[in-house]
Amino acid sequence: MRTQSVPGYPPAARRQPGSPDLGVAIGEIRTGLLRHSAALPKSAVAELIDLVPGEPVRQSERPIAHALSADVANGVDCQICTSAGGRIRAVGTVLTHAAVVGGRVLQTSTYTRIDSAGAQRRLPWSHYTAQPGFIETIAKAGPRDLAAGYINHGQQADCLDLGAISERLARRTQNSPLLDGRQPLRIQWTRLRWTALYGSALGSPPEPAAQFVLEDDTVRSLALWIPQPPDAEDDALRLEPILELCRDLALHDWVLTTVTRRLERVDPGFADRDQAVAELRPLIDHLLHLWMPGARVADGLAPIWEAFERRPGFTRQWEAAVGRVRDQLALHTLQLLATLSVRDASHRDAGG
Amino acid sequence: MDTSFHEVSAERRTQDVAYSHLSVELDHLYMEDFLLGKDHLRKRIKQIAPWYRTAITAFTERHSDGNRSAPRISTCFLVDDYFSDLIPPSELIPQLQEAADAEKLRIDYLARESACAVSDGVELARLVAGRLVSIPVPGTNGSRPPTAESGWLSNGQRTPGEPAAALRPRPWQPPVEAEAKTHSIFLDVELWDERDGKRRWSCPMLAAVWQLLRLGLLRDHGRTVIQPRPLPAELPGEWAAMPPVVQLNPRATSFHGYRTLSLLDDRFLPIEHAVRVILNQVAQDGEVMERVEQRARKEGVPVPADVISRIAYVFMTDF
Repeated sequence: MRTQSVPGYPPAARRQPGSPDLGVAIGEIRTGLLRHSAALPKSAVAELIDLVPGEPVRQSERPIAHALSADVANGVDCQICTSAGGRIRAVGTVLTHAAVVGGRVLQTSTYTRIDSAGAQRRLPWSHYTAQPGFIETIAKAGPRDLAAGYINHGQQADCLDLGAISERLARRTQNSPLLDGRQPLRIQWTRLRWTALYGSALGSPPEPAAQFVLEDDTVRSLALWIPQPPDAEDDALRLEPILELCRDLALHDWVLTTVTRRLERVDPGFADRDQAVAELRPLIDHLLHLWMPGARVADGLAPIWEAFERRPGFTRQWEAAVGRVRDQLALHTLQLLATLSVRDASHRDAGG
Repeated sequence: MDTSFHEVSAERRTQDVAYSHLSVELDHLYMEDFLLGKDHLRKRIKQIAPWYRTAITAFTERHSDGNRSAPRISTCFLVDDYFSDLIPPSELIPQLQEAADAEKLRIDYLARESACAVSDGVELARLVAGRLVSIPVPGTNGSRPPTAESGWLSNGQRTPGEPAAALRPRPWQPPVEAEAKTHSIFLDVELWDERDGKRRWSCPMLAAVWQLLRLGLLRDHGRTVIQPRPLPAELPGEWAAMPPVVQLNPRATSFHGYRTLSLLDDRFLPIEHAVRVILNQVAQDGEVMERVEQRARKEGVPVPADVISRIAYVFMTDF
């Protein structure tokens, strides 16, 4: 899906000397509910995702409580897919972090940038640990080819498995003694596989672009194109806004999926309205306030959210879903009132 | 309308430090060495002096383009007070300074080895241990957790374990060095042990922290972890009462260096091999690395991109 053009964007991208102007990053995010009966307080969240000693858990309060851990590095030396289905070897480190939103939702995200200039051989490990979060292909490859290969071929045996690393961190976090293990809702986790091409290249569209695909019940994919000027002053890589956008989309897709699934179970014609309310109540208690699309997304990337709002219209569907939750409650209230007034009337009749 | 909103807890700021071009470590002695008396100490210092002068000449020639002023070089000495503290600072420091003066060697900074474990309340060794990223053997794709033995770090893949009740024992499989050229030199380094529930860091682990400290690459929550302090007017009787790093020479250039050189006795060769196995696997702070690189480049003394290449040694034998 194309989006409109954005003045002022983008942030700078650091490029390795000799590598093409086009950067590519890939990642996989797991999103689900913390195994805890209530919203986890700020201090407990900080302890829960304190993954790297000496590195802060970054926490913010506005417009919603949000905590982001530092990155943990993992070493890999394996194959990655190209778009034609071929494989090439890549070596380096991938980074994993955890985020907790509203004290309720856990996201574990693993990502790496790919330098595809082709080092021709595996270099000393200290080369890779000097700049964590890069993998380098042994043979030269095209960034577009690698981005397409990652997103189109799903998880292939023996190929780089970012999802498994996110999964392990999610499991480990969920088993923390800080959590009471009592989950108010039994709901599925979702996986978002994403890839981002960023930088400048001849023939690339001047506006950011994105494609979001629901692959199946729990798997989603997102392909991003983020144009950046070739001579960015700040040499530092600013992948952070892209990571933030991916987490934000994953979060809202998960909340929307969760609420609509739950509604499907109770509607239509759920005979027992008490039970319907019992099903929907946890949504109100725990999830409805989490909907803040794009709240944490950088200005330059906001048009991507805005375009998704036009089509398919996440918020449109969300508002419809919330409306249905409230309708169910209203009907239930009416039914209660009706029962009460009937009881009241019969009481009056009996007493009068 | 122009508005701005920030939350400090959502940001991470990285503190800069100043750098010399080179940090030179002048020998390393165990406490027991000091017990051998003043003459022994003098002999040791005498032994390193010519190597020091040679190294400085080589470095200056290598890194001068004719016009530039002499490189900034600071010297340091690490006192081993972690594994024993037989001799108090009030005795050891004057002895050391006397011996250095006699050989016209200048010791700019004196550091305590126990500060590599904990410095001003910050557990530096734990900080480094928390950044270790195991070297992968080919085929490592993330699908399995890295095989970590608590408290140990190897330079490759260990011999696979045998189930205790194996009926038919498998033939022995060798360990593999991940970066072997043709044959492996496999090394498994003990990072710490536990005694009475208390963690005791190994000498290579503390020496790895020492290298990172000198290279100015460690931060705690973005803050620098070493601020050299002046020598206390009255030397305490206990090492624990000493600052982590004291500045003996008020006119010394920065304690931190873009590069380090250690002049060591050859008995430290295996220790430093282990140190390099550790440092090879420390995921560096990307932001700090970039700032150091930029700064060095601006000064016209580019640093190697990886940490191991910034570390040099002279191993001395009594010959």
